[in-house]
Amino acid sequence: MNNHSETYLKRNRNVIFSSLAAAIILAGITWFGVYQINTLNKQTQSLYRSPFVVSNSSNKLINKSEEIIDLVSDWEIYKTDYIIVHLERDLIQFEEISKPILEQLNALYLGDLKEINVLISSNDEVIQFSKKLSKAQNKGVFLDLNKKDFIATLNNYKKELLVIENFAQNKAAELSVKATSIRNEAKTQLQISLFLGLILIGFVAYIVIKKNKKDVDEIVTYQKNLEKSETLFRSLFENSPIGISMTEIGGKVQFNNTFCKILGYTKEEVDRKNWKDLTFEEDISKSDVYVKKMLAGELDDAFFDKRYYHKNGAVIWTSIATHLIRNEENKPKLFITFVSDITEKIKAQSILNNLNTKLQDSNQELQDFAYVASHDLQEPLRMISSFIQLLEKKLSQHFDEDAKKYMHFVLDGASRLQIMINDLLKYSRINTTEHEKEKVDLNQIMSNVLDILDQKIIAKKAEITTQKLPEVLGINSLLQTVITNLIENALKYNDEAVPTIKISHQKIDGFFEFAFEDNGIGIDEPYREKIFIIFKRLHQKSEYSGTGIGLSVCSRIIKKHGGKIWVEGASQKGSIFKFTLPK
Amino acid sequence: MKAINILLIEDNLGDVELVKTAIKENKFKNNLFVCNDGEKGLKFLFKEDEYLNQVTPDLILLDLNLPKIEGKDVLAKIKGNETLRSIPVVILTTSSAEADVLKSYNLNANCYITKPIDLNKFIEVIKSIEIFWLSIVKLPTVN
Repeated sequence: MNNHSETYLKRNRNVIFSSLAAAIILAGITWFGVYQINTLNKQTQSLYRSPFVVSNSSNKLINKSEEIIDLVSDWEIYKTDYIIVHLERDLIQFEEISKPILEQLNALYLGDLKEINVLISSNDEVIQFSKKLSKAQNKGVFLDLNKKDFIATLNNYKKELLVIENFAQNKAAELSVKATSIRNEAKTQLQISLFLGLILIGFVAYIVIKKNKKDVDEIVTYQKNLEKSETLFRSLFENSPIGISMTEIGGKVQFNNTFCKILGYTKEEVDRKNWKDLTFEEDISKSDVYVKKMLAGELDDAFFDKRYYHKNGAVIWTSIATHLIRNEENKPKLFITFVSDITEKIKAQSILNNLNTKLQDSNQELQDFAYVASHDLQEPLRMISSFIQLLEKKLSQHFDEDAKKYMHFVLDGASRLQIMINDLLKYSRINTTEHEKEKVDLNQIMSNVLDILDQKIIAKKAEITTQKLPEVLGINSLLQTVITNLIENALKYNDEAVPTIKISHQKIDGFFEFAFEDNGIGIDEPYREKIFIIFKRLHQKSEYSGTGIGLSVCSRIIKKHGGKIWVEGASQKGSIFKFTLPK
Repeated sequence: MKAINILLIEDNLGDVELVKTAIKENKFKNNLFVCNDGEKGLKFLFKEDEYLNQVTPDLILLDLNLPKIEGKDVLAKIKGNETLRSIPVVILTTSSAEADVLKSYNLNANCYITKPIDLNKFIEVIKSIEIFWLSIVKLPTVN
């Protein structure tokens, strides 16, 4: 906003400057035009005047010459009369006339009209006459002047003056035309200058106005955009599904609607509250620590969980994400904080954690129970079987057939109980075994198992075929147990003349899926899940021996490895046991 | 042949009876002494109180699960004593838990035997212990 108003001012200043410049240019042009015209006028005037002056002067001189000629004529008359009649009066008259002639002559070559006389060749003769005349007058001598010469000279003089006058008049006329044309030209020039000046001013004014209009448009657009942006920001701020607060350093704090809603207050109520009153006491220092670190520049952002008080007094758990915005000088300006209500999540998590702990406890207890039970059960069992045996050993000659049969059942029961206890112990130990997983070559395990079961395989005349198996990550001894159990089961539950077991595998997603297919008695659909439960048996002991722990041990081991185990019916007869192990 | 002295520290009277039965079948001349808890066992070995004039045994059969003082602690005491250290100790227990096995070996038990459930096997085991420790292995003489 600041920048923009500065630009606006700068632009306005430009407008003022350009207007001033235009005015100065126009004034200059006008002044120059007027000055030109004035100068021209003066020049033409002076030019115009001088021929007239010459003409006027010539005219005056002509008049004077004519007067002199008239006087000389009179003077001649008086002279002739005096010579003839010698009348004194004539002489006086003659002398009387001489004076004005002399004056007039003097006037011809003296005074203001000298400059014209320079131009006239007969002027010298006029001057000679004048001098002669004045000399004679001074001597009181009656001057004998040739009247004819005198008049001729004066007439020449007059003629020359007429030529000058004509020339001057022509010149004056010429100059007058010229002056008029110059004046007209000057006028035209001035008009053009003024016109151009006006156009220039108009142009400048147009540009200035246009520019100004553009500026105004820009400002209007800018303001509109600003308003739009402000509206958008407000809407985002207020309607964001996350609570937001903006805390200016040393200034006001703004909360959005969502924040207020989280705490159950209205905006006005929140504004009246101190944030420390809203915060759960134990979490005040937590916030302070982050705020201090951020102000110190150790952190730009902080993420933490924090509790608030709801208006109704309930504790609200929130997840805080806060960022410190700094100004151009890198000084802290404002905290922008996002607040999400995670109370429900925390509650759910706490329930889940409790359940988990309970589950872990109960699992541990179960584990302990299984271990202790099986371990402690061994002792009395061993007593039963040992002393029954001792009894048999020492006193069997006193027993009848019934007593021997009973002894057999006691021993058989004790021995089966022993096996079950041992199985239970093994089962409970699967999860307590803390072996690191390592690379296990299943081909090696298979070979070991086939060696161990060699006698059984030969006895059953079984045919076992196996694909090359992969290496997996697992616990060797446990995986051997799985494979042993599966092959033992496949042999045991098979009444065919030639039992067959086909072992194969394939890759599925991130797993290896292994299949042990047999041609044995098979498992009916409804029992396919039950067989993996501990001590679940599908057959009477007299049909097939065993405690019913083998598959549950397999299931537990496979689960421990992150896989699963199940059984499918084979296409013809028998079962396919399948299990997966992660690659 | 000089009779050998065997100390059995065992709380289960049944097992005591079975050990006695097994030992009777032995060709070796022997004297069996029985203590029913760890405390008595240690007193016997250190010749305290009522055991002041007892002999030092040539072989100790020790049960791990004992009242008062546990078998493991008894073993630790035996192996921590200069005089008693050289007496062979055979651990007899129903426990085959690996943890117990490891703990026993860490305390230098000389042998570890899980009590078999079958009577004949048990007799065999006791016999083999005697044969192994008293005839095959040459033991340092204890005064």
